[in-house]
Amino acid sequence: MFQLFMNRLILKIALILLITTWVIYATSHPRAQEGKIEYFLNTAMVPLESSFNYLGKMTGDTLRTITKLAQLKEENDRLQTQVSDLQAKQLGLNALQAENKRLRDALQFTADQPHEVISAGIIAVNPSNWNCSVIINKGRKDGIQKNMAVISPEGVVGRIGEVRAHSAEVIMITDPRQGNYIGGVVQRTRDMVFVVGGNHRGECTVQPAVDNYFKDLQKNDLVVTSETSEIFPRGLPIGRVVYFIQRVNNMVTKAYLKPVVDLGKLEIVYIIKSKKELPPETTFGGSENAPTNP
Amino acid sequence: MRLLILSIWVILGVVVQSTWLASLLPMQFTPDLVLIMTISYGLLRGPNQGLLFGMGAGFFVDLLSGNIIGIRALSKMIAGFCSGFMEKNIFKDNLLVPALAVFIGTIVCETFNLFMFTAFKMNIGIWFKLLEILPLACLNAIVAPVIYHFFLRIERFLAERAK
Repeated sequence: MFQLFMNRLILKIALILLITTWVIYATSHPRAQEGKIEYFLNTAMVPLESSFNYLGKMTGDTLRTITKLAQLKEENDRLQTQVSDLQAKQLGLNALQAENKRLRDALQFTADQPHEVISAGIIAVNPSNWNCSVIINKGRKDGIQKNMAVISPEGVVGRIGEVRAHSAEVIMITDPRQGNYIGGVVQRTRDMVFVVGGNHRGECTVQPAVDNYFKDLQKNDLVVTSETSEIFPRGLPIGRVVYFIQRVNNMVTKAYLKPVVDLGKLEIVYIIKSKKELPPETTFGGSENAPTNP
Repeated sequence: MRLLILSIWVILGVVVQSTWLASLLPMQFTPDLVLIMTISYGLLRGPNQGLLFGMGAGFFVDLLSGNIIGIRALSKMIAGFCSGFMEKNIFKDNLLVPALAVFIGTIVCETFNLFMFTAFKMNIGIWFKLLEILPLACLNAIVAPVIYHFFLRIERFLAERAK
């Protein structure tokens, strides 16, 4: 027993246990306030705890931000896909809307025409750079015949060339082939002219039909089909004079015309199956739609 | 020097445990870094040093925690003292030893704490707390090799310095 007390280690442990037990007992009762050591330690730890807490929050926020960024990227990718899908759908809808409008206009135009017309869609263009002609989806079976007038709501397009069973060639007014001309009249001066296809690409040549020169031709004059035209009803706009050549005495012998119809953007054309003679004052498409010479 | 390093470690352990780990870990409890340090120190330095470390660190935690002072100190003293008995029988570079020691130590200490606090009339749901002990022991065992490794390096650094 004495030896046990003499063992310093056991004595130390016993002392520590005794002190600890006393502390436990002393602090186990409700206290009015915490002890000074507790107060000091807790106060001293506050700045350190605050700093670590701040750092911890920053780390947490950074981790959350990274996680959020990953989520946002995923969401962004998903939304981008949705936007692409919707854009594709929108494009389809726009195309449908445009087609719907075009068909409505075509229907209206057909109904408004005094002549018997057949509408046709353009399915191909002439592959050669030397000719200006297109292929339409109507042919002999639809009542199309050679040299029928081809028009659009804006004016003259050309005439029917070769006719097949279910398709036909439309020779544009700008086509330079021989014999491709239309009898016309300058709307302002009533000078009779021939509009011959060809010259600069997309233009026609205007030649006086009676005299050797134009008495009073001006730039931007509108040329319309005349009664001299065998296939076109009179009054259809052909084009406007864009420039002319003046010879001696300022006489204009030749002019050049830009078609009123944008021949490069045609989708639907109308073939006049049988033209009806109209009273002289009637103009193409009714007075409201007719382009006027400024 | 040793006292200073150990003090810094204990302070850092308490602060990290009460700030970072408390906010980062989704569980309702955090690893008891001070207990892990006590057991690790006991494994490296023997029962006497383990007991002293457990007493100092435990009282520090008790003083910061408030309420009854000494219960956690007593449990950590026991942990440090008991783990210290293994000091001479273990291969110190094996990181599985601290993990196992901490796992067992956590179960013993937490059970001791539970019964002590219950004995001092703290309102604790014994069964709920008992269910928490095993996951906490696992968590402590996972963290233990890291802290033990740091303590091992500190010990080797101090041993080198002493030469």
